[in-house]
Amino acid sequence: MANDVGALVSVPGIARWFVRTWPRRIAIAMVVVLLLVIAAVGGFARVPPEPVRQVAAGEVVDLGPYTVSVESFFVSDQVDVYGLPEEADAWIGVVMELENTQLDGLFVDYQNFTLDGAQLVEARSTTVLLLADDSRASFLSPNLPVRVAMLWSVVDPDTIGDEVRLSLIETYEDTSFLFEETSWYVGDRIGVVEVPRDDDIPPAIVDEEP
Amino acid sequence: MSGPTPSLPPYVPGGGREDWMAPAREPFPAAPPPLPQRRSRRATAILAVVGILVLGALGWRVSAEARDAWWNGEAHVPVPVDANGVAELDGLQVELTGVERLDDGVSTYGDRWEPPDGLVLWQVGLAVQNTNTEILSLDVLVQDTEGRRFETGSEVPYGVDGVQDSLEVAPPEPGDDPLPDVQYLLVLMPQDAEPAAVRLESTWSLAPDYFRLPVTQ
Amino acid sequence: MTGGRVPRWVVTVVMLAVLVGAGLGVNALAVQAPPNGPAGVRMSLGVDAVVHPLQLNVSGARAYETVLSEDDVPLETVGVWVLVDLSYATTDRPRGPGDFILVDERGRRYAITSRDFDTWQASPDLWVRGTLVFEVPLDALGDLTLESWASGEGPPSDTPLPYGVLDLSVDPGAIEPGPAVISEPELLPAGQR
Repeated sequence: MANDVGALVSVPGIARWFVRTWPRRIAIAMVVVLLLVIAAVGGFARVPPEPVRQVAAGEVVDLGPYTVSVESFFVSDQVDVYGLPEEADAWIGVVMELENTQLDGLFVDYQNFTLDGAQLVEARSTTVLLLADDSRASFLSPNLPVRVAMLWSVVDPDTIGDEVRLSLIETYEDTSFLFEETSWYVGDRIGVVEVPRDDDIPPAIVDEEP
Repeated sequence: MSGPTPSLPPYVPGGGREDWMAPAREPFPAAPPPLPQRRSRRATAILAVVGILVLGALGWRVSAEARDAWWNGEAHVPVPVDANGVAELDGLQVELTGVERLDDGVSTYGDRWEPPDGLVLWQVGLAVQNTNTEILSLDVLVQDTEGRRFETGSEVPYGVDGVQDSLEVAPPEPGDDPLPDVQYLLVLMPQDAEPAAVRLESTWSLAPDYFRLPVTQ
Repeated sequence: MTGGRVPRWVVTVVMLAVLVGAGLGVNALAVQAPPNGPAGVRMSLGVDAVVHPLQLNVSGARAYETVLSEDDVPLETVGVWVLVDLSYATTDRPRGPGDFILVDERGRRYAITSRDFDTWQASPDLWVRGTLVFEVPLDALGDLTLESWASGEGPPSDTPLPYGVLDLSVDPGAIEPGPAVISEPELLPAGQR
C-alpha cells in the first residue's frame, strides 16, 4: 500500500507513477511526437563536414590566438643542423608569417599545423626559426609579426615534389566552467594550403658546414 | 508534512473521474519526528574533534606529494659536525679549515683584481674526502650572521693561483690524483657581512640534508 | 536563547546595520587600495624597491631601432627595441631575478626578448647593473608599465605573490637609430645603483 516503498521505487512502480495522471500522459505523448517529427524532417542526420577551404599562399588566416600567412617551403639539411633527429635526413621548412593577436605573449601551438606530402619523422613540428637571425621563435609577442620557418624532419627528401599540403587547424578560447580559467582548445581544420617550393633559403638560418 | 498520516485509497488507473486532475500526492510515510533540539554539549565537542581529525587526515593525505617535494627540495637538515669539526654523510667527509679575509685582492692571469669599493673578498678552505660516487658536485655558500647566503665562485675572478673555481667532490678514479688536501674557494660579500657558517648543498644529491660548518674565529 | 528580552526586530535591524556597515567599510578601503591590488609594490625611477626576494632600482628606459647582438650582429625588428637600465640584488640568497614584463597602454604584455640577451643572477646585497631588452611594436611606445615578478611565477599564478610596478615613459618621437650596444652586467661598488 502507501507504505510499500520498495514497490514504488521498482521500475514498474516508477513507470506507473509517470503515467498516473492524464496531464503526464499528454506531456509524454507530446515529447514522443516531437522526437518523431524531428527524426522525420532529418534532424538527427549527421551534418556533412564543410568542405575544407583552399587557402592561397600569402593569404592571412586567423587561427584563433594568432594569424598565419604561408609563403613557401624548402628542403634542406643545412638549417638547425644540430637539432635534426638522427633518423631523419633533412628538414622541410615552411616559411610563414605569424602574428599574435592577443594581449599576452604565447607559444606557437604545433597542433595548428599538419603537413602532408613528405615522409615525416614526427607528425608534429617542434621547431620554429626566426628568419631574421636564426633564433627560436616559438614565443610570439602581441602584434609583433615574425617571418619564420617551421621545421618538420623528414626521410627520403628526394621524393618530395614541388608542393606540400599544409592543413591549418584553428584553436578556440573557452572558459573552464569549474575554475573560470580560459584556455585554448583544438578546433576544426579551417584551411589547406598547397605550399609552393622555393629552395632559396634565407641566408641567416643556414648553418655553416659543421 | 506533519500530523496523522493521511491514508490514501489504493490507486486504480482510471478508477475515479475526480482522480485524473488531482495532484499526485506523496504516498510516502510522514517524516520522522524532529530530533531533540538540544544536543548534549559532550556530543557537540566530540563532533567538532572528529571533524577536525577527519579534515586533518584528509589534508595530510592530499598534501603528501607537495610535502615530499617541499621537504626534499630545500637543504634544511644539517649533517652533525663532530668535536674535530668534521661532518660525514654517506661516505662524504668535509671539514672547514678556515675562512680568511683577503684585503689585498688576488692576481688573475697576471693582473691584479680588487673588489669594488665596499665589498670584501674572502677565501674559504675546505678539506673533502669522498667515496660516494653519487655525489659529484656541491654548491658552496657562505652564510653571514644576518642569514644572507653568498655563493662561492660568483662575482669573483677566474683563474686565480691556488684557488679553485668550484669545489672538487667527485671521487677520483683509480690511478688519478686524490682530491686536494685543502681546497680554496673565493666568495665576495658586502663589508658588513660577517661569515657565520659555510654551507655545502646539492638539490639533486643531498637535499634535504646539507653540511653546515660553523666558522670559528 | 535570547530569553525574549531583545525584540526580534531589533536583532534584525542590528544585523542589517552590521552587514551594510561592513560593506561600506570594505568599499572605502577598496577605493584607497592601489590599482594593482594588495600584492602590487609601487616603484619609482631611481629609488630602491624591495619585491621580496628581489631589491631593484630602475634608472630609465630608451628606445632604439637596432641593437647589436652578443655576437655583434645588428638585430632588426619590425617594431622597436626598448632598453630598460636597472640594477638589482636579492635579500637572502643567490637566485634569478624572476620575470620582467613591459605592459603598454592597451594592456599588451611583453616579456624580455628571447632573440638574444638575458637577465643575470642576483646575490644578496651585491648590486649588479645591466640592461633588459624588450622588443615591442611602435604603437606600444608612450606610457608603459614595467612589472617585476620576482618569484618567477608570473601573472598566471593563482598565488597572490608580490610584484613590482613602475610607470615608465618612452617618447615615440625619441627613438634613436642605434645600433645600441648592450653592455655586460657590471658588479657595482657598495651604495651605487
